[in-house]
Amino acid sequence: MPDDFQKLFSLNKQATPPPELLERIIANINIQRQSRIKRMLAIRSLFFVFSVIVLVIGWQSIRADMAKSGFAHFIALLFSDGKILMAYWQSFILVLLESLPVSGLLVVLAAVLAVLQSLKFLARDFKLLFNNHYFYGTK
Amino acid sequence: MINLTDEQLVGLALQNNEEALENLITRYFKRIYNFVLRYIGNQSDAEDVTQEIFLKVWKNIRRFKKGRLFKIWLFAIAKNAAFDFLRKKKIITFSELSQGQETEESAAEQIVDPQPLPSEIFEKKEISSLINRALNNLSIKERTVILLHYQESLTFQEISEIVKEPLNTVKSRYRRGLINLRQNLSQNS
Repeated sequence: MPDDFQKLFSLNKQATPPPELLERIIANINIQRQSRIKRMLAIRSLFFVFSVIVLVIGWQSIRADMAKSGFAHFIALLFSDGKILMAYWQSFILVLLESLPVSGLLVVLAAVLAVLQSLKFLARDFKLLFNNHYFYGTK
Repeated sequence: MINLTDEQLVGLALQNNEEALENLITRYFKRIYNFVLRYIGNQSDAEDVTQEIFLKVWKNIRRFKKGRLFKIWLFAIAKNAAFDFLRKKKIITFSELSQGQETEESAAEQIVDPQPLPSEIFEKKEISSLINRALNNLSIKERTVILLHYQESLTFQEISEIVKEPLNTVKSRYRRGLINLRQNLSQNS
């Protein structure tokens, strides 16, 4: 019974798809892929620019904070009165820590990580875009 | 790449290996086209739907779960795309797709196995068009099970995963489909 149907369907000819259909499918996917890479590239570029701006502003802010708090001055003492500072190293460390602009440093650190990460993704996206273009040509 | 399994090719495609994806598409291209053509009936629309299916495969490949069979995932996408097309063209209604399965499961045991096909059917010259006409007269769900089982050589378990219905429902639909197909073939011949 089902064997009859097996035999029946084995006689059912498979249609041959037009040869250009496969090329069209792959070309269409390639176009979509390139669009997606370009979109991600644009978003990541914006993010990179934004993180660089935050880094620059954060760095300027830290410098100002350090000058205000006297941190830079205390660091300079290491080179001018090093021996005296070694005698009172515990107090010196406490003073350094108190004058450290922690929040500014955290912002700068986060911005540095964001810049590095976005550079990594940008490099990957450029590589994908280049490989895609090289593999498929300009279709 | 020719000797790699589907799942190995998917793994490579997930690492942005474009050649692997292209290999996968080439491997299933003709089968998917024929599967879609059996539903849609005209070549131009079948081409568009086939294109749409492989685009969906590319877009959703990251959602493909490891451990699953690629062909089951692919045919599920193909079936859904074909159904969506037929619904948009209003060839089938939503109610045809959402028939209750309780009736089917309870009736499963009452469906008698179909009788053998008359031998003269096999002697027909235009047997392909005879089969396709008979298939078109089946319900969309019966057609799906019959096509996936006989054209694509999928097991009932695999078909059950594709159509997302219980195994017994698939089996009863298969038996009923064969009976109806036999009737259609006898009438059309």
